[in-house]
Amino acid sequence: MNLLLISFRAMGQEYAKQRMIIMDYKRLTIVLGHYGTGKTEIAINYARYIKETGQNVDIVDLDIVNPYFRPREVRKELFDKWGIKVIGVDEKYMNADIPALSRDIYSVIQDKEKHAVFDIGGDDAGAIAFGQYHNIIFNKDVDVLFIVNVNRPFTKDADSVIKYIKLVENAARIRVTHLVNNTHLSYDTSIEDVIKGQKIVEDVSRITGIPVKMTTAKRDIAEKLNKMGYEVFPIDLYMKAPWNKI
Amino acid sequence: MAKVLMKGNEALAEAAIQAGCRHYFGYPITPQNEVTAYMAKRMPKVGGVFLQAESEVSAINMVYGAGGAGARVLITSSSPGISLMQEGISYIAGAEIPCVIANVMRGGPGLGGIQPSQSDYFQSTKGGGHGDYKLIVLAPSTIQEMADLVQQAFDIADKYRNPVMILGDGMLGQMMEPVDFDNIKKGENHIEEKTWATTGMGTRKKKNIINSLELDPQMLEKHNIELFKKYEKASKEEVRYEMTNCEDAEIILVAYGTIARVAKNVIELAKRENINVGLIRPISLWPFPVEPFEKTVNYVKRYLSIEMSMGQMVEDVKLAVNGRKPVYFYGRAGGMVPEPAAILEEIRKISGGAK
Repeated sequence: MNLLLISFRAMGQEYAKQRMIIMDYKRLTIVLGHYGTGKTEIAINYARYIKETGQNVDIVDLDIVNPYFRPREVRKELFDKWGIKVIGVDEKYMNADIPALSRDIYSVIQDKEKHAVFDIGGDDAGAIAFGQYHNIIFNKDVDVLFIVNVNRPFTKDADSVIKYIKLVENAARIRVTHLVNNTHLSYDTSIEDVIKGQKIVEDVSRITGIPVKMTTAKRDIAEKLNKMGYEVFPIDLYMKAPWNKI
Repeated sequence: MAKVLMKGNEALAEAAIQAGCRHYFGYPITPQNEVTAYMAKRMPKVGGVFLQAESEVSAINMVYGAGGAGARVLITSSSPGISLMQEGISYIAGAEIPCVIANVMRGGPGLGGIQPSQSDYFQSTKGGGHGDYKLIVLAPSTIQEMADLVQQAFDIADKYRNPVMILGDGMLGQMMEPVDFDNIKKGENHIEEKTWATTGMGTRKKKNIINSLELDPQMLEKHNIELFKKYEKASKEEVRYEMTNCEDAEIILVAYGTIARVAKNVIELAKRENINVGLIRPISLWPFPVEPFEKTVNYVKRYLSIEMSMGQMVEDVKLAVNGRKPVYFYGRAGGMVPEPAAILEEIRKISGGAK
């Protein structure tokens, strides 16, 4: 837990004032992981967090493997509400079933005035799209977060998580700098899930030497855990099923 | 195994493996690619066969072969790919081969788009291929139900020696939900040994032949009649549906799959406006459940079929209601999923005007 660098204040109305943020971040943050670990939600919430500390930040939608539930779908909401731009294929090609990437990604990588959070598609299949930027990103100031959800069938224990880290690192051609525990079960998530995930992520950290950046959970669970003394980064959900859009 | 978090496509694949399926043939198409990817990873580990064919036409004929040899076999695709398979599906039904086919529907016609749709209802329930045949069609509306129905689909396919279709859509394929594989009821039906399968002569005296060709019209008619005896049995024994809040409902929504979940939230929204809305959710689309309409037709004022299509299931709803009450339709097409507010608005509209 000493590696978790966030603490929260329960006081205050605005999101930004709800917490005292002392988590450091780099200009570029790359979010990697297995399918369904919650990369997109973390990328969006993390970008919001960077924005709230006063930085100009973009989200790079580098997901070429998922046909639905990508940052580009909430492009307007993120810009209108938070002033966060989503860099991805043009809107008119949003549902084109082709692995196209925006040329603007290069400018985000090079622009020293701007922060960016990269949402990469799941598994090695998704991470391979990021590998092509290897030659221009290797000397940049980068955090590479590996998101872990131990409730996913192929990443249930430390060994399988480590196997996935290697697989994804090779495809993305970059080393993971931090681990993130985002263990959840969608609407069935319990605090026990989060704690179970934390133990496994700490094991992974011990074995690999990769530090743990944070534990994340959807806001209601995070608040419960914070009251129990755990330090958890709260996530607000953006990728909603159509029947929940009320 | 405790609850795990899975995409619908992954749960479909895992449920098939747990139902004893060791043969999967397919060809990639969005939005069902995770089935193919999952099978490529898992099948070799359980001693099964994963084969990505050169086309859907080829894949469905591999299913014909494997199913004919007695294997539990799965094939999956999405709308345009399922269209390509129709000839093979007709042959499989004609030759009485059990298999499970899953269609993770997307918008059409033609190449259409990659967003979720329900516009293959006619193709699935009215026979997409040629000839007098039926598919038993099961439509899940949650990821857990997807897993449950895949197990049942294999059992039903073996029981009737007939192809069974799981009809999902892109939303169910792509979304993630918790699934518990421990509670799936396995092998409810007693499955007889597949004495008809082409497994080699062994000690058999007579050859087993898998074939859908019959040039003698009298014999072919006899075969058609035999098939329909089977379908009649299925239409009595395989009806599945769910009724929600139908007691005292003034209006009953009829919806399956993804849009049935929207309907459930509409029921709650309508309650706040003192409109009593119920839901009939067909789980088996063929055989179509007539029973819930018989139970409700005397007191309900009207039915509203809601679909992610231009209006297909509504025809079966009208047949079931048989003119006794008005049947309305509301649909979105092309990959659009209506939000609860839009359906509530439609309910207000049809409740206001007398018909």
